Amino acid sequence: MTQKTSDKSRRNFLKSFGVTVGAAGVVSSFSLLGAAKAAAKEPGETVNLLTADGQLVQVDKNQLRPTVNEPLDELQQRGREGIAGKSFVMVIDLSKCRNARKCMSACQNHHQLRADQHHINVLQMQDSDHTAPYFMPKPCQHCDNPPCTKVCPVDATFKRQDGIVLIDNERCIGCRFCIAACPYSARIFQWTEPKDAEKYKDLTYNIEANVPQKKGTVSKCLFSADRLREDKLPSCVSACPNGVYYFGDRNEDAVTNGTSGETVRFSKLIEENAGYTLMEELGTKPRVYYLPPKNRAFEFNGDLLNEENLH
Amino acid sequence: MKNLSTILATLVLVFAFMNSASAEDWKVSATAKKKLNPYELSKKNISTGKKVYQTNCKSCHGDPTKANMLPLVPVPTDLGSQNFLVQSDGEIYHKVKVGKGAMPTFEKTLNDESKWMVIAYLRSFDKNKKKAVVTKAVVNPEVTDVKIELNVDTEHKKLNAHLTGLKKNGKRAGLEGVELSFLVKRAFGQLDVSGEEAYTDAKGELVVQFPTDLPGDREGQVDLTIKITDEDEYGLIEEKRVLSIAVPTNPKNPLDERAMWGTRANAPIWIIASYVLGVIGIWSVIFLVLFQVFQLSKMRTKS
Amino acid sequence: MNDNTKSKETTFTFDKIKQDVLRPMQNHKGLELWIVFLITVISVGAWAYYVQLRDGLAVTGMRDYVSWGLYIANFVFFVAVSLVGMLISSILGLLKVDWIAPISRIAEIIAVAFVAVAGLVIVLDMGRPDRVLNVLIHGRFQSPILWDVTVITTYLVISSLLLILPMIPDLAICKKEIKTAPPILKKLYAILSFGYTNTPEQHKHLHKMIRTLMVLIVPVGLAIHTVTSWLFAATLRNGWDTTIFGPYFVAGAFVAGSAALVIAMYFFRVNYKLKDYITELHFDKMGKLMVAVCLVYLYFNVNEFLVPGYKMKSGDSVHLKELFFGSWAIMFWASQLLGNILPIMLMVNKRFRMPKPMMIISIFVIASAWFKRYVIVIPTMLHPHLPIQNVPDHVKHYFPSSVEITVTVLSFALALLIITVLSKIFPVVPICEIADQKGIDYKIEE
Repeated sequence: MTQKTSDKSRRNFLKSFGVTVGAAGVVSSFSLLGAAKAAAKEPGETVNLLTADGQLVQVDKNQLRPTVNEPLDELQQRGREGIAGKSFVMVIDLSKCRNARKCMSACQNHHQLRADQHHINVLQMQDSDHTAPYFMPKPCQHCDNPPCTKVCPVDATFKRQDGIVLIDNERCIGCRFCIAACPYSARIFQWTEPKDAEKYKDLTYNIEANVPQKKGTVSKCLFSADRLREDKLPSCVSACPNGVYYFGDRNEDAVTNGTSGETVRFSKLIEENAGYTLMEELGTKPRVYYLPPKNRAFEFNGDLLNEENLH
Repeated sequence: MKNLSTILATLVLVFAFMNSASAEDWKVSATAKKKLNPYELSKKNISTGKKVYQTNCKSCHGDPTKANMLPLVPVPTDLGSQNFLVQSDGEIYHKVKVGKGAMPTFEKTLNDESKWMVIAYLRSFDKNKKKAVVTKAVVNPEVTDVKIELNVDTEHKKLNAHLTGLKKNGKRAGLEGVELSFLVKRAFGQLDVSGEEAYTDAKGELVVQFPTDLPGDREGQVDLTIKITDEDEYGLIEEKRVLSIAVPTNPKNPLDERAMWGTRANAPIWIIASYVLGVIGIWSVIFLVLFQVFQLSKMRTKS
Repeated sequence: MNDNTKSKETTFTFDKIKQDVLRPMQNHKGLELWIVFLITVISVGAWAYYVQLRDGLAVTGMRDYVSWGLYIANFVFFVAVSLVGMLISSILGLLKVDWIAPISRIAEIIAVAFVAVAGLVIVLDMGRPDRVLNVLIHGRFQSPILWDVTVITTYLVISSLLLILPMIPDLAICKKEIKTAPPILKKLYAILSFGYTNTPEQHKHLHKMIRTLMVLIVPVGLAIHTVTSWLFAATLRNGWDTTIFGPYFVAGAFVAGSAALVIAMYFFRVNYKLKDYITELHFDKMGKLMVAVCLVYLYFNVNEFLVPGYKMKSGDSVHLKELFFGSWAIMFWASQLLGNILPIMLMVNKRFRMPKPMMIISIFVIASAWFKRYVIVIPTMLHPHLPIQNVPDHVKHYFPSSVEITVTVLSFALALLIITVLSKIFPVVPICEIADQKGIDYKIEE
């Protein structure tokens, strides 16, 4: 994918937020995901649609795109198999993060989440009393020794061959053992009906997007597995305006920056910037690498040194 | 009344704007303004600056003069506009270095040379400075049918590219001083393996060392694309090739081994054995006892 | 230690024992009221659970950070108390301790009731209880929850058998002697007596079976609470990521279970007028047993808190400071002092090993045991490794909601109902065993 196309589609992805929410609101058989991938056409050509509850609506044609046509069985199977030959990793450059939180909102839009539900959370961190505070985006680490999949009693959360840890919400029994087991607090629970449950009711469950969300089950970051299947970068990676995220295939030793589209050698990026993983002493073997906040692009502007925030 | 609300609105916006600004003032001192670009406004520098710009600035500012910047608040300036370029080189340099609010500080993230290269690139859009562009002593002849020929030295993993064009007199000539990009296809983008100084020589040739440790697929194959970096001059000229000189990889499937974190089918044997044998052991005793209990009634007649 | 064949104050005959034990089973004074009360409480609880099913677990106080709360703390408590069955009838039974004879059945009744309700409590906490069968269909061998489900079921079955089997001679008696029993109960007695007529062969056979089960239940009982502790110890959280959780929980279970038994003993002694069977001696012995298990539990507590407190590792330090000096200090120190240290100090004194003081002390012990489990579960969830941010303020705190409390009360009511029913349809004191112990001959007719 050339740089130009990635910039354009990313820009339109962000632009189309306002329109998409409205459009998805009335059309029940097409999801927010598809609508957000609108091509760079001029709005104008509309189409008449009959919604599930008998309303006739006019929808902009390029807002429509059914995201999943496959039956549930096929989605489940390929979701469990993963993408052969890949080994996905993410690199987060802490020197570039200024808490813009575009990653968080893109993710929440992608996965039918409320504003207080986080698959990725940008935290204010201060490692110890005399070290400098910084912002740290924290997605699921997709560990290679995952404490969460170990404890699941029903195989509802599992690791697949490309390294991604998914959750099967057709099987999850809501015991929340995995939430207790995760040391990164990466998982959330649907304590009540998910956001916009009515609108998503008739969609086929797509395990790679975990949409529609289900009450009484667990949810978390999936490295946007549904987008990866289409060779697209995860939502958070694409949405960041500051160049914080790199994502790629460790087998190829290359990661691509979500903001600039630049692809670099993964090993070189880690070596030159002293990349590390979070809480490595716990032995979870995360797949998310952090580049320490040296040579910062932005001054830290959080409400630091607020004791409460740090525990 | 309307004026009052306009004034109030403006004041609110100004305060909001000020709040979103960083501690540093966007004001540039007179000394900083006077700084000159130590690098000449050559095509090469402009081209280098373009690369730096596209990696670091384009994501927010868009393309210069195209007004396709991100709809942020405050909106990033069109850096190719005359409004912007009316500032001196030193002024632009200071702002890039220091940043403000959503604009990052590039003091540490870009070295001085890169910053000046970007400024050179931006200056190339300045209508008042068009003539200042230094042209090289050597100018390439006017050509059509520009193409890139690739020869691969498999043994030493060197890529030999030859950029030529068809002159008016029907002869092919090499094009000098043109930057080429050697791109290897990766999962989400193109990895540039050309290195720093990837310019064609006098004969239009360029040799690039292919990285000896770059992984390919199982057979060590990669998709290579060679193109002229700057599409402005000759358009999109590229040559694609499947190379076999990368390192063959055999991706390890983490699910191949039994693990405690694995699925039920992938559980370590000792756990399956312990659980099954434990359950069978204990429950067979339970059933045995139950069976014995029913024997009790048979014993009653022997009273 | 053996009793004399003839006690000094009362003369025991088989008829006397039978009468004393069977009489309360037929006395239903106040029973109907009590059962109606329990069923009312259970109905309210059931309605609260319906609300939870309808609206989701959001009706509880749990949120993304404190995702395990009152229900899990309660679950641990129920499993803990149920271990008393194993302690009294099996461990002490295998050691041939004589004084447990009159109280071992009460212990088993408590064990059966509490482990059965424990299994229910955990289902009440599930987000998708409609999928509970997934645990059997898709169960992973590597998951401590599967192990927990397995041992709970196994312990329930073995405890039930250990309740029924020693009761077979008594049920044979009940079949004949309880004239006022409704026909369905008479049928139950007939079936469960398995034609026992106390022939020497039957006697030997039965005791061999009971002994086998007593041996079997020891590893299962130890496993049940060890595996429950692994629900916490298998995670990487501060406060749970320790190596001694297994024995720590088992020791705590013995404390809680013994206290529950003493309370039940006192109730049956007074309400069923069983002073001659559940004597002052038994309270004295239970007191000494409780001192022993409380000391062991105190030892584990010291190890569990002093050692990390000494090091104050980051992560641990915040958690421990909250427990020792912070918002959890009252609950923590109260449960340690009132639940462990003070009872030990009191019960070493013979004066406090009398029935009434023992009962009062046991009430404090068991209440503290409940709060101790709350202190084990919730503070750890409030102090994860990474800071809790970008969520509404109430998510950073936890207090059980009224639905949660109601459903928890439901679990207690259910346990009490089971105990009530079992202690009414079955003789709580083993008639034949006591007769055996006192050297009284008896005959059981067909």
